[in-house]
Formats: sequence, structure tokens, C-alpha cells
Amino acid sequence: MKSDNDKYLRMTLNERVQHFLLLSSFIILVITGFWLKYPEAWWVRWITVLIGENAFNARSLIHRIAAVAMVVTSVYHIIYLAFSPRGRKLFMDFLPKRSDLSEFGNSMKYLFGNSAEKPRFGRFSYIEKMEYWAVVWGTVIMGATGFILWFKDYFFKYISNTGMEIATAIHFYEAILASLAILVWHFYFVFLNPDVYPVNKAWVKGYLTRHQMEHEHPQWLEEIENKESVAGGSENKVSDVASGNIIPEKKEVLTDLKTEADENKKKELHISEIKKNVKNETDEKPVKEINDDEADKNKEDNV
Amino acid sequence: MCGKCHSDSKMNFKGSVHHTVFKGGGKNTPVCTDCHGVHTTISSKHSIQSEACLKCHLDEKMFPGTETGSAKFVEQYKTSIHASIKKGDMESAGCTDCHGDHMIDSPDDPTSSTKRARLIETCGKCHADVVAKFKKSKHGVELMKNNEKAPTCSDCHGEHNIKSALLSDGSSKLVMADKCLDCHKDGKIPHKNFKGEEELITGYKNSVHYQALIDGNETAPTCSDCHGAHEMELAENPDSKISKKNIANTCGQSECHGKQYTNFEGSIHEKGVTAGNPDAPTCNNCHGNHGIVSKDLENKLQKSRDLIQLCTNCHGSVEMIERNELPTKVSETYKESFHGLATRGGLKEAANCESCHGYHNVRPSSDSMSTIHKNNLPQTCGNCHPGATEILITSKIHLTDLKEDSPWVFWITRFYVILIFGLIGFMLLHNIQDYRKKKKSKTEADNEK
Repeated sequence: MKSDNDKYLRMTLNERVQHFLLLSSFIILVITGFWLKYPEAWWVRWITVLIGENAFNARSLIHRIAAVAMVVTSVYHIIYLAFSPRGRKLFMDFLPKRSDLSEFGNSMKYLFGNSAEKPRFGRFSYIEKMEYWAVVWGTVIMGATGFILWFKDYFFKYISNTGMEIATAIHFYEAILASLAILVWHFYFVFLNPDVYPVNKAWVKGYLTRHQMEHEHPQWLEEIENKESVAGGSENKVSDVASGNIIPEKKEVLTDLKTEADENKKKELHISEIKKNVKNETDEKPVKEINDDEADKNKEDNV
Repeated sequence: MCGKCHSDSKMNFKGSVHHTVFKGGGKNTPVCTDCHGVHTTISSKHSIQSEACLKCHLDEKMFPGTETGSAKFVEQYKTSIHASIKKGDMESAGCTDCHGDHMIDSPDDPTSSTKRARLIETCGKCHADVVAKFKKSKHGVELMKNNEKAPTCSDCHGEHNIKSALLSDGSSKLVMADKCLDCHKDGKIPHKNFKGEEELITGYKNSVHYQALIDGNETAPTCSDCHGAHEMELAENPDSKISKKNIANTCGQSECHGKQYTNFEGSIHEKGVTAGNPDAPTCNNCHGNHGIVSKDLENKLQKSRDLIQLCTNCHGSVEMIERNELPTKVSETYKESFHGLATRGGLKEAANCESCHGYHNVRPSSDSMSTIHKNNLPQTCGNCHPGATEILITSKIHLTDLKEDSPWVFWITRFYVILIFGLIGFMLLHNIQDYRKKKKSKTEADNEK
């Protein structure tokens, strides 16, 4: 049952699409933004060589399109958090808790102090929560100041040139902060991090390997396995999927597909099948009888 | 025979080219009676004199060819302004007026009245005013030093075919320019242009002025319009038409750039020029000297960037700023502003210096006629931002001292710099340590295997 080939659902297709829209609009915004601020930079010259002399004229338009894409994605994300069961669960799991503080403290002791005990992270560690809320903060700040700068002629009479200068300064420094945070914080954990190197494929494939679960989210893995053992066997798999915990990559399920297509395709099909199940399942009450000690926690998990 | 009484004339005649030829046995050479008649002796001051000369000198058999001295050459005189304008009964200037009468000499003779260097005296008999001016000019001075290259009257006005400068095809403004540039083709203008490049005198040929002449606009200026024809002065001379003080006036002559001159009058630059400040710019400091180019350049972006460079030359120069108490950091702050960034990036519509400050009428913001005076800002900004109906300015535009001019921006910048260094620094440390720990436990795990 516990196999190295087990795969655990980290991001549904919907979430991956959201993430992809966010990352592509973000990258475009970073490029087209710093392009304005550093017009003589070497990489700007390359863009000009590639696109042509009039590249700069397209820059502001592309920046605005990407900005709208990011805001629309963000609004969709809020709707997703508010109205889908999995979204609500995601939001609850992302909320900072008192336990994050002690987890952070333990991590500091482990990384910089004498403690040899590595903190056991759950679904979202303080690292990921910082990342998530930094994105929320950044999107609000950049969206608001960017909106003012976009409609400068309208806002000018209310906030004066001083207000414009302030909005410009915030937009610029927040951009540097956000870009560096993504580069140093996010890219490290997704790419350089020895546990996932060369890349954590969760944002493409949607799942984590058992190895990654053991190293990065041992607490979460434990919760999933407790639930499994209490509810018993594969019956509980679907509810686990509903709660966003696991893809049971079981051979029996795969053979049902009666296809010899390449493995990736199988996985995709499999995921979509599970998604169908999720939809059916979410109408019912998914919470199964679970061990009393875990009941409180799992109520959250399964809503 | 005549010389018995007219001994002076006889002496003069004996030195003349006519007498030389006569002694050599030339049978067609004129003696006294050929010009004065025999019995009906005529006073020399009579229009007949030219006819007497032309009797022989228009004969193609006696003077063949088309060279100087030939009949064809002499014939040109008949259509010249000297022949066509009458003074009393006579031509305004006849043969003898220039060539002399009895002592007539070949122009090659150094003492001849038509020798290059002596022409100014000969012409000056009638044209005293212009010759006086010409003598003071560099051309005149060099000519009197017997500099063979210096131009004399006939180089520009012609010889027998002499005409009013405006009537002659041979001295149209285009031809004049070419004539001047023929000698001045390698000359450089003594001061560099706004880009710091040396400018050739022949740069005139690339100018809008020369182009306008080619297009048939006869009012467009050629060399003499700015430098003066006979005065032909250098800008160094404070009385010249192109000295710093006078050039605006010269360019602003009513038919030419009167409107621009009116705008320039009263501007801070004009005030400086009038006060005698050598740093203050006048027409040519911005527009160039000989190579004046059209402002309607095709490459608008290049034009915009050039203009910024032009203003920055003075307003970005520490020396200039200190000497003239100019506002500091205006060009740096512009280049970091959105307008400046967009121009640097390649947006040709973005505002440059003149979009806000105007060009000929640049005035300080305290001047109510200034484009950047508080009352005029809505219109100035509105040129590009039609939606900006109310312009609310609560701090300086060029934020030269952030802390003083815009404390909000200053403290926000401070806050972010600390935040960025603190937070990103922490992230870096955290991740370096995370990496080391994970690597270590990985190698340990591998070793166990």
C-alpha cells in the first residue's frame, strides 16, 4: 500500500490553470514593467532586436493586458475560495494559525540553532503561507497603484501629482520586492530545493511523489494515512480525493481504463475521472466516520 | 602732333597698351583721332567715348575668340547694368571709367586700374560706400595684402556683364552660395554644434535654407544674408549681423522669422543674451549654424532625444548651473520620470523639455506668461492629457531633493529599501541554510544505503 510510486494530489487541474495564469501574467508584468524603468538594459536591447524598433509601443498595452489577466484570475480565485468546497478548505488551510508561529520557531532552531529536530510540516508550511499571503498582498498593492497610474488623467485631480509620485514609487518598489521574493523564496523551493530538484512538478502534473511528501509534508502524509487506515481501504479513496488529499494511483483503477496509451495520458485521464467523482461526491456529505481524536481536524479537511 | 599742346595726355598715351601695339607696327591701333575725331574734335566726357572703343573692340576679326578681351567678351557690356542705366546722356559707367582713357592698360599689368587688387579703388570711384565696407571686411583686408585668393568686386559681380545682384542670373542666391563655398569648401565653423561635433561651412548645403533656395524660395537666405555682402563679418565681431546680440534680430527680420522672434523676446534666454551673458542661448545655439535643419524631421523620436540632449548640454552641466544659478538636477529627474523613461524607451509621443517649457518662449514658472505658470498648467498638460481637466500640483515636478520636495515618496522609498533588504536578506539566509541541511541529510541517507 505504501509505495514509492504513490502519488498525492497537490493541485487540481483548476488550481493548476489558476497558477499558470498567475505565473504567466506575473512574468509578463515583470518583463514589461522593468522594461519601462530600465530602457537601456541589455535584455531590453535584445527584446528590441527580437521584436523590432516599435517594441516599446506595444509594451504598455501588453502590460495592461497581463494586469487584467492577473486581476481576473485573482477575482476567480476569490470566487473559487468562497464557493467551492475544495476552495473553502484551501482557504482554511492557508489561514495563518498560532501553530505556524511555533513551527517557524522550531524551523529557526533547526536551521540556525542547535536543534536537530526537523519540523514536520502539514499541508502548508509557514514557507508556503508566507508565499501565498505575499502574493495576495502584492496583487492588492500592485493592482491598486497600477489602476491609479493607468487612469492617471482621472485620478490626477483627486490625488495630485504628489499622489501620482507616491503611486509610482510604491508600484516600483513593490515590483522589486515581489520579483525578488519569487526568485529567492518561491523558485528555491520549487527548483533548487534538494528534496524536489530539479523541479517540483506539482504545478504541471498536480501531484507530489511519496518521497516529496515524506520530506516536505510529513504531517500531512500522516493525516492522510491515518484517515485511510481508519476508514479502511479503497472505499475512502474518493473521499480523500474530494478533500484534496490523495490520488490513489492504484493499478486496478488503471487497468479499468483498458488502454495501453502512454503513462502520462493515463494519469491525465485518471485525474479527470477522479474529478468527475469529486463532483458527484461533493453533493453528498463526504465526511466518513473517522477516529474521534482526528474528527475535529478532519472536519476541516473534508469540507 | 596733338601732344604739342596736350603733352599730359601724350605722356599718358605713351605708357598705354594702345601705344605699345602702335609702336609694334599694328596698323589697327588707335591714335588720337580715332577716338577724338579729326576736325570735329570731341570732348572726352561724352557718351561717344564708349562707341569709339566699341568700334574696334566689337570687331570679331580684330578680337577673335571668346576669351577675356575678345569681341564676344566685350559685347557683354552692352547688356550690363552700367550700359543700361543712363546718367545724363552717358552710360552710368563707360569703358574709360574702369579702364582709363589715354593710359589704358592691360588688366595683367600690376598698375592697371582693372588689376584685381586695384579694382576696389576703380569701382570705389562710384561705389564709395560699399567699397569702404568691403575694405574693412576680411576679404578686403586680404585683397589689399595682395592675397591672390581674396575675392574682389568682379569675382562676385562679374566683369563686363555686371548686373544688379538681384537681376543677374549669374549671381542668384544659389550661385552665390556655390561661389562662396567654392573657396570655403574645407572651412570649419569656429565653434562646435550642440552635439559637440565640428561643423563644416559647407553644412549650409544640408540646411533648410539651401533647400528652400533650390525649391525656388528667393527669400531664403544665402551667405550674404547673414554675414553681410560686402561687410562679410565673422560672429566674433560684436557689430556683425551674426554676433550673439544681433543674430536674433537678423533671423527675425520681418519676412523671415518674425513670429519666432516675437516669442523669443522676453524669454529668459533672450533676457540673458541681451544682458550680455555669453552662456545664454540664442537662435544658432539650438538650431545650429550653417546646417540648420528642419524641425519637421521624419524621425520624431530622434528629434525628441536630440532636443533633450540639447537642453541637457547646458542644464545638465555643473559649470553652467553654478555660473548661472540654474535649477539643479532637472535633466536627471526628467530622465527618471515617466516622460523621460518613455522617451528613452522609444515612445515618440512622450513629453520632452519643450512639451512643458515651450521653446522660443521659455520662461520661469514665476512669470505669468510662462507655460509652466500655475494658471497655464491646465492648458500645457492638457495638450497631451485632455482628460486632466483640473491640474492639482501639490509638489515640485522635478523632485530634486526628495526629502524636502516630496517627503512621502522619500519615506516610502526608505521603508521599501529596508523591507527589501531585510526580507529578501532573510529569505536568502533561510534558504542557504535550508539547502545545506537538506544536502547534508541527503548524503547521510545515501551513505546509510
